[in-house]
Amino acid sequence: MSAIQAHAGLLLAGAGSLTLTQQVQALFAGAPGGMWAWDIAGNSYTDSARTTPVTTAGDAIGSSTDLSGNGKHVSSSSTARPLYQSAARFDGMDDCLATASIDFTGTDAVTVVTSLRKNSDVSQAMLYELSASSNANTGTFRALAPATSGTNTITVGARGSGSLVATSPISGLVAPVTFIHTMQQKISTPVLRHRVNGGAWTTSSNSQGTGNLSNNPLNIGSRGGGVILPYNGDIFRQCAIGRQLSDAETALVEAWANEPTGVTLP
Amino acid sequence: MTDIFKTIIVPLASVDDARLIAAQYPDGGHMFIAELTSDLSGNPPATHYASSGYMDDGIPPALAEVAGIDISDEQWPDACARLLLRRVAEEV
Repeated sequence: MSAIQAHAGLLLAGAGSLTLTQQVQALFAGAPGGMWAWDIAGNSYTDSARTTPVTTAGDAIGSSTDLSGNGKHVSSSSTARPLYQSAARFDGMDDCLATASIDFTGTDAVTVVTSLRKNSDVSQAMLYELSASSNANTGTFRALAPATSGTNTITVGARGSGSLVATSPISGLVAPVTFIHTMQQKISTPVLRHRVNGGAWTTSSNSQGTGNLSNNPLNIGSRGGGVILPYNGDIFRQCAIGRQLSDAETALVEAWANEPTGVTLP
Repeated sequence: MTDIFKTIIVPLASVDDARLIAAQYPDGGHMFIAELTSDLSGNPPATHYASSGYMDDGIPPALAEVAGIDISDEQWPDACARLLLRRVAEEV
């Protein structure tokens, strides 16, 4: 347990005045993953070594701090850096961010909550993906926004040892559109589900195979940290935690992700 | 080093030259990978390659003599529209 997580845990036990960020940090006690808030300039740096802070709209984001305490900072380089626009703005050409490998091998479950503004429906795009390719690698998950080119959709896919399972897309998300997206995967149940703005779940119960998740980088904004399936839009915040959160915990993380966006949640 | 924003589009025939030149600069080793096509439906093959974003300020002038290169301050969709190019469509 990191110092941040321990601090959040102590506050949780002793006081009711935790910030949303502290409450979400407390969920990470013993769980792999990371959380990033690109809406706050002070969390990001223009260089990949996290030395020169982002200060102004239009600055390139070379790296951003993982707020979970797990040290899974994201970084990028050269023209692949998204721009700071009170969010990380991905240009749909070559922008991406990626963590070092996150060791999810001790769990078969993950919850990913993202607040985003999808700016284009023209081309299928990878919002996030664990590993260089969930088509090629087992124990992985991903979200595509849009799900297919020319559609107002988002969808998720995931797998254990078996073939990739995909949910039905959620539609009606005509770009430009701001929303909170939540994905949950648990290989052994099996369940793969996602929802928008805290609404009803769209679920697949197809078998994902067996086993746990993998130890791979989380790529944000493209496939493989490169130019394949580049996402065109903003990401305000994201939390990827290696366990299936309860309904109350999920709502808490959605509320945290929604702080900069103000979407109406249930 | 100072970074500047540019969109640079290079034709297929010159992309190897452009990559070699860019690779001599900090973080210039992975440029001109994004595929563009003159087919307005986005069908392959790639006819051009592009990089767009902040880059070392030495890169654009070093590339200025590359045959057929287009260097602008535009966002990439605007540069592509001006040059009648599209991203090569891809799906998984």
